[in-house]
Amino acid sequence: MKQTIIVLVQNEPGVLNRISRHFYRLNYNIDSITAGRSEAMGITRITIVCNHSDQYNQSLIKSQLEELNTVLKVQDITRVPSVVREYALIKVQIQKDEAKELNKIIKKSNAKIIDGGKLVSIIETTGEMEEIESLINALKQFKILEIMRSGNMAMVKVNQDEHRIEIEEIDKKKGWATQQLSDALS
Amino acid sequence: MSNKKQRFTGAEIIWECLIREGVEVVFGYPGGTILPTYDALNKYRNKVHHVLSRHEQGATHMADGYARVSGKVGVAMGTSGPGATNMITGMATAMMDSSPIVCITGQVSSSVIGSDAFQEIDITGAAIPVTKHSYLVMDIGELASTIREAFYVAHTGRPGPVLIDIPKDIQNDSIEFIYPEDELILPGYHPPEDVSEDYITKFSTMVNQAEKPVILAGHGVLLSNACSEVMELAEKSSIPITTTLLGIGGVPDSHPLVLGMMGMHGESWANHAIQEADLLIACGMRFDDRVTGNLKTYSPNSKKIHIEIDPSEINKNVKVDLAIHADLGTVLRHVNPQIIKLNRKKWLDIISGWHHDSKRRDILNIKSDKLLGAQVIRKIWEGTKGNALIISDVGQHQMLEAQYYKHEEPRTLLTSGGLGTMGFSLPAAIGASFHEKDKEIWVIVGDGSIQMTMMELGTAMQENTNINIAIINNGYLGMVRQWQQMFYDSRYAETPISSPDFVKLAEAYGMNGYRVDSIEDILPTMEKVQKNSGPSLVEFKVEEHEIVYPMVPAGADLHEMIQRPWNEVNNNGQIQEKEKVK
Repeated sequence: MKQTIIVLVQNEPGVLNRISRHFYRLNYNIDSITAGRSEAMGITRITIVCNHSDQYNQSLIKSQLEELNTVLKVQDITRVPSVVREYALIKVQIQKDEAKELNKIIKKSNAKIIDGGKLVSIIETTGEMEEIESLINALKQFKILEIMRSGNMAMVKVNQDEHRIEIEEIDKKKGWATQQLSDALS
Repeated sequence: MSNKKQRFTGAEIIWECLIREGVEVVFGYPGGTILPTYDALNKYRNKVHHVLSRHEQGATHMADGYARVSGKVGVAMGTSGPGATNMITGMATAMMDSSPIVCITGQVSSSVIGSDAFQEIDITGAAIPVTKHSYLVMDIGELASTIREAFYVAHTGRPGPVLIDIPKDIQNDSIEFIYPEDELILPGYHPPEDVSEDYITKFSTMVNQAEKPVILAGHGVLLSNACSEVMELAEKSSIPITTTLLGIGGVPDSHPLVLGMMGMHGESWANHAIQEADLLIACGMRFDDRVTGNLKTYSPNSKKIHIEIDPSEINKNVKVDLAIHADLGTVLRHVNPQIIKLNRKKWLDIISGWHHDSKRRDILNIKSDKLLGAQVIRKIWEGTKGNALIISDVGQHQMLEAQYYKHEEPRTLLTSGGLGTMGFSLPAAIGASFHEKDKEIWVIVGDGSIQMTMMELGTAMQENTNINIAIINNGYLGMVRQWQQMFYDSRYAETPISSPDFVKLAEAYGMNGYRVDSIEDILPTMEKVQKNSGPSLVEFKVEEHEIVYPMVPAGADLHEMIQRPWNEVNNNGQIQEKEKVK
């Protein structure tokens, strides 16, 4: 089964190492891990998707991650209605006479060419995992040179308010001085 | 240190911070990258005593022993590379047994970290699985706050080991410094706060409605200082108590409600009580496989309450009906007033019934030509009037100690339970002796275990430590031999072990050494030992083929204990070498 977990961490060296070892210990294979800045300064939001057939320990991973000092919050959203998206870059090589066909495929899907040479193009797309899979399948008639996928990013749907974690809420409780990202950038 | 800004080196800041944390003794071993800190020690000798171990593993066990007996944070120090890796076993031992220690290691200079410099190792990375948290200090400005945070993390919540790795240049650097007094803010660290009223009501209702409840008292009873609260709950509602290995001492063994230890080598009636119970009240314990046996058949008809400070232990091995993530003492202080007085005579009578032939099967009631390990432990109990601090090692003698030495007070037994670290006892006892200065201290150790950390006899000698070492010498790695006899058809692969002449060894270290091979000589020898000051060593030559019963084989159902076979009991005590047990 697929398990999707969102983790809020303090952005400091070694934090991924501390997190990932708990998946290894339970023998869970990480399908994708996507990390980036969050709305609060110094806090990174990570989406981890893992694949395993373990029925028994799947709640354990949450409590083990929560125990880490560098982890602020863990949320298992496997069963929470969420928006899940992935971003992908695909580099393809075409024959001279295939340009029209390529454009047709691009038009049909939620994709665009962001860097094009004569015969080699980089295609960008976002979508659910299945959409990306089907685009890649369609592109297989050409020569795919490289695929780079971001892995799943997930966010709980707006009508699922009780499941939303607000960094501010964590901050208030612990008196952690946060700065909004906009402040940080100004 | 005044609160006026002064210039301090990193090395001085380390000692200043340790003193602020109330540290009186540090166990360690100097080396290249921790040299600046040892140099600075000379300025602080009047405030901190440093104990030179003979191996960094020993230093960590000493800090651990000190922490377990005092409830304070123990401190171990060592150099980078091999010094640091030698500390891993000690940190893992402390991790598994929730013992608060802070390990400080030197690191190569920050400019060469990552270049495989001489004696460089990524110890903060290597220590992740064996510590509660690990820190690498790369900025002298963060040194004091890191040390402060490390102590806080080590002793709050579920205690555990914390590592601070400090590069040599940070120790040499200097800074204008005042000790940080502001509130500690650890956004990712949440020791539990108060308990909701709801849980308290559920808890007390479950206890009041139960007919056959049992309290499982673990190490958390000691760590939370909740011994009297647990006894109050037990006495009010007449609930029998059984303890884990590390829970021993948390409740007085002589109390009629205390059943003794549970689990693999636990008392048979305690294990039966767990299996037959309709309510288990698990207090600060983690349902280790050594206490549950087969999880599928574990206490099948009981509801379970689990009071545990570490949320990752809840529902890990055993699914429970009521989980309370909080400090045990706090919970029980809320619950106890709501408990109805009951005498539960019927349930207690059923448990007494399970004692039936246990007494007759007891090895102490068997005549034996040779001295038995169990007899030695019982005599040490008599000779110390049950008042000693015992530090046992790992193996048969450890289980015999748990069975035959009756502990009445908390923190009177230190032993490596979770990790089962052979070689723990001698260094842990040396560490403990710096807190328990007036108490009689006995190390109970096997001939295998003592030889794992025997070099620490040098530390005991140098510090003139007031410890007595009882070596239970059966010429085997006894517990492994027991498994070979029972489950591997008596094929003794590499379990016979020879030992040096321990009496001569004691003399070589300037200690008094004694050898005892008969039960009559035990008490007179102990009297001699008790008159000595400084360390003493007694070697007890015991029966080679003694087996610790009862035993629940690994993975078997908890109630399927193997008892001492009747032929051994009836055979006038002749312990049979090739006795096969299916």
